[in-house]
Amino acid sequence: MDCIWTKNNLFFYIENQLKKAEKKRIEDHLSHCDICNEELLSYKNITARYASLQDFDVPNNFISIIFKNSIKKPARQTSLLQRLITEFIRSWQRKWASIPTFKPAYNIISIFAVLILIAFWGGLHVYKNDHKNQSELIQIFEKETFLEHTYQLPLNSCSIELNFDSGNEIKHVCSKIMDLKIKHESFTHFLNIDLEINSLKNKINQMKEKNIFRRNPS
Amino acid sequence: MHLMNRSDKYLKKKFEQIFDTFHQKIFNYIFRVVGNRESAEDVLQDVFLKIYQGLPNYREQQKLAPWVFSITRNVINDYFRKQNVYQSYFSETDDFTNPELNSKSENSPESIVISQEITNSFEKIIVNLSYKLKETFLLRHEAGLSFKEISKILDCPVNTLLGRMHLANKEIRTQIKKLLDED
Repeated sequence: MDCIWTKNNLFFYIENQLKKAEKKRIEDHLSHCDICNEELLSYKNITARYASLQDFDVPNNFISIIFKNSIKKPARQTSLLQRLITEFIRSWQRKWASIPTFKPAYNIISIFAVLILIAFWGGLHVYKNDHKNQSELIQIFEKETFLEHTYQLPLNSCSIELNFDSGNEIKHVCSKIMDLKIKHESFTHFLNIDLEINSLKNKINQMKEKNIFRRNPS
Repeated sequence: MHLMNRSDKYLKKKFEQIFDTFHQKIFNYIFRVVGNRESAEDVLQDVFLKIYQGLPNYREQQKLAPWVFSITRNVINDYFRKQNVYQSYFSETDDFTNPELNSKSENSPESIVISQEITNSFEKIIVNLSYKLKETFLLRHEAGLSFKEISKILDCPVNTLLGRMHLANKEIRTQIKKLLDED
């Protein structure tokens, strides 16, 4: 029985990694067991022979080649976040791999679910946008027609004739007037509105003149 | 502490230190596993590339030798895998009718080409050991690692390593006896 134990602990005995009691046990056994002694001797012999082997020579220029090649390529630096993400993905991969059945079925279901979600989301957006556009257009149209009919503003003609920017400016002023009108529904501040409209008319005329001058040079 | 946040100068210094202390041992290890100079040089280059790329992820509490030799072992395994694929490809295209060639190419570590540089008979015995025995034997004797460290690198319990060492010793002994008888 002691032979097996010594055989298992022989390497640790040679490396001096055993406790005192174990060391003594082995030494006692070795003193009377020839087989184990032979084993120990052969092991020592092999280690000595290995130590006496010559090194293979690495060529001198080879060192520089290695250095060049290894320093050319930049060292890979992975941040903590990257590692966390990769570990998270790996853990999920392991989980998925641990499910033995219906693997293709899971994949197909997930793909379909994603497709349906995308379609639903897109449809919702289109529907919302349509309604928004329509309501906005109606508002603008109402404002313009109101202003044209009541104050005889040459809005459409202006915006067509003038530059696009100036047309936008006029629309801005119009919307201001509309707001005023809406605030005071019974035209109590009619005077103010009239004043503003007059100034607006002047502005438009000015712009027209300027634009004519601009147009002509060609 | 990882070496990730260290400066490039420090990393280069560390790399040079590793190179100075380990290149001879690593080259001996590779030569004895692979068996010829050409492929040993290729593998050595790859090993130092991997060490340089992996330096930022090296922890300073770790011991250097096990880390370095685990890298070399991985690179050697990669090399054998590549060779295996290469050999199997050619055996498939050229003589797939010959079953002997195919069976040989399946385990390339056993079918290594030994160069003429290995003249020492003891060296020949070591190179001719089976791959697993040779790996443990060389990690113990060339790299000087303890059995615990080797068990971590090879990912197997210490007791199997001890068994492998005994087997390797037995085989070496029998081979030496054979040689002595021949003389």
